[in-house]
Amino acid sequence: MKKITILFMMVCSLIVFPGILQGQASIKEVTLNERAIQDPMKSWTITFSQPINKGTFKKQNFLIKDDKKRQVKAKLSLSKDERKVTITPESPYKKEVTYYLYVKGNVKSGSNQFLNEHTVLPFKIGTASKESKSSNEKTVTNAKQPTSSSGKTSSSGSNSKPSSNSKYSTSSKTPEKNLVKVQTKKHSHFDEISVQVSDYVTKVKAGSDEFEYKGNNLFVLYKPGLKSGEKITVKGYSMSGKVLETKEVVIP
Amino acid sequence: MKKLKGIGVAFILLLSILMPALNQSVSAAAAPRIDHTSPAANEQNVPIDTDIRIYFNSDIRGISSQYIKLFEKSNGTYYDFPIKTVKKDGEALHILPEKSLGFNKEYMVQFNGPAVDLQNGTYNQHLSYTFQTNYIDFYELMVVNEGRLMNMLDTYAPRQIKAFAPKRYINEISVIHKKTGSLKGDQASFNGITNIDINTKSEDVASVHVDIMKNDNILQKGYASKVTGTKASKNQFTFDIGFSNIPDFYDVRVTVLNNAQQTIDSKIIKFAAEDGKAITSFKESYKYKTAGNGYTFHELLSKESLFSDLLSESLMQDIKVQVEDR
Repeated sequence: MKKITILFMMVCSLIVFPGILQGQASIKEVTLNERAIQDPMKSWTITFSQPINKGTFKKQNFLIKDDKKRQVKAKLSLSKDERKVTITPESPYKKEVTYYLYVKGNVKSGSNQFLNEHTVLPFKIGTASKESKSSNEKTVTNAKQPTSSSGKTSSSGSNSKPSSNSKYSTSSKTPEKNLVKVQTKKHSHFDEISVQVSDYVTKVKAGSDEFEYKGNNLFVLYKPGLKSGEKITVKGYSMSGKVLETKEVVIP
Repeated sequence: MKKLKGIGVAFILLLSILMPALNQSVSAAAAPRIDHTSPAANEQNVPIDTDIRIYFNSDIRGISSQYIKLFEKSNGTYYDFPIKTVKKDGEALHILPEKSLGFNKEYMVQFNGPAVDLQNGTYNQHLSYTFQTNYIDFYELMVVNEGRLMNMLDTYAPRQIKAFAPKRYINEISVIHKKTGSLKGDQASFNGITNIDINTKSEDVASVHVDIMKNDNILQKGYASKVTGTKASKNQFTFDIGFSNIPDFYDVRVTVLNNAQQTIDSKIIKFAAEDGKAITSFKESYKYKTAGNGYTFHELLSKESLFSDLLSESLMQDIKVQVEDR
């Protein structure tokens, strides 16, 4: 009779608290933008703003799967400060196959706080220029900042600094090259100056003239009255109004 | 001889009596007619701010406006286009519509009765002629096909070519973005939250749509909802929308729509969360000098700052060009 009562209580507790079985499986999954890689043996480094709980440093929490949901054999390593996890495939990635890097929400910080979601980063061998060609190692920031690392592709792949306020790091190093490309084009009644910028530049000006934002990090200014050989100083500003980079262009 | 003289005097007297009468009958023979119209019948690229004028061959004494009609063609059918007032100005009849003409439309001016009393009689003929307000893209003329502009300048003087800046409706866009994570070290982490406020003019605005974009992909989208009650301002609307889990670097595309679900204004702004800050807020206000106005090419060429303002305040693709016939 006592056994039946205990069994009944267990069943009841499972009905009332289904989360006991679900655990972290019920948390949300966030899929980041797909990345194109060039190195078929590319390793990924996940940087956290706090040391992670060593108990959660395991292959179930950091893994790579192919498009048929088969797990790719990979090695894990943890940095000395226990904030960086590197996952390296044991065999090369295949072309035309999309792979998925998973960082499970089961990962805990040293102070036992769970990640609040599963993070999935799809990637594929391709020719996109989002990747740093010189870097074999890429930092993936946790959580929902999929583009933050694309802004620093020209600097480094693994030196993201944790935000002082965020629990987990968001890659925030401003790239050295913020005015990525400045071009001029002459039309019969005005000149066209277009500036491709990094993620960090939110405003571009030439003197008092503000460039029009066209989307996708492209700013354009149509300016009448410029003379051939005239020098124009173009400034890229951050969201807080700080000048991130200045460039001089000569009107053709 | 005396008799002959008498006949001659009588003939001269008769002539002096009859001549004025003959003159009058000559002038009465010039029946009331239309000298010309502006815009001319079948004109194609009539500016939307054009004056509709009909010139007669005599001064206008009175108008019976009930016989004067203006129609706008839509989907093959002419619909009444309300007239605000009809005025006389010497020999010209001036028709003022209640609202501005629209782009890419056909209009028909019609008299269907004794519409105008002239000094030389009543104009009582049926009149019907059409003109169109088609436009040429400023972008096409200035960037894509500069040869077309040269051809145009062969036909029209710069004072006859008019560029119209689009009306703008967005007054302000503000973004408050909280990154994923806790605000303080001892707090539990939670998802990123983003609030976007859009302040618009109230005229013509029905709804506002927001796209959160990255690398030309739409990450999230939705219609912003209108803020009502005490927070609403006079002659302005405020719309707001919230998103969660969006990245720290993205584009916000705001599209303003009218009742017919047509886009009447749009704006793309770039957002980048600030380094080391959990919450980044950003506000951009817009003031336009040229919005909704038309400028002749002569004005634009003679005032460089005006040309500069026109180019910086409007997308070139949204500026429309029309020509005025002389």
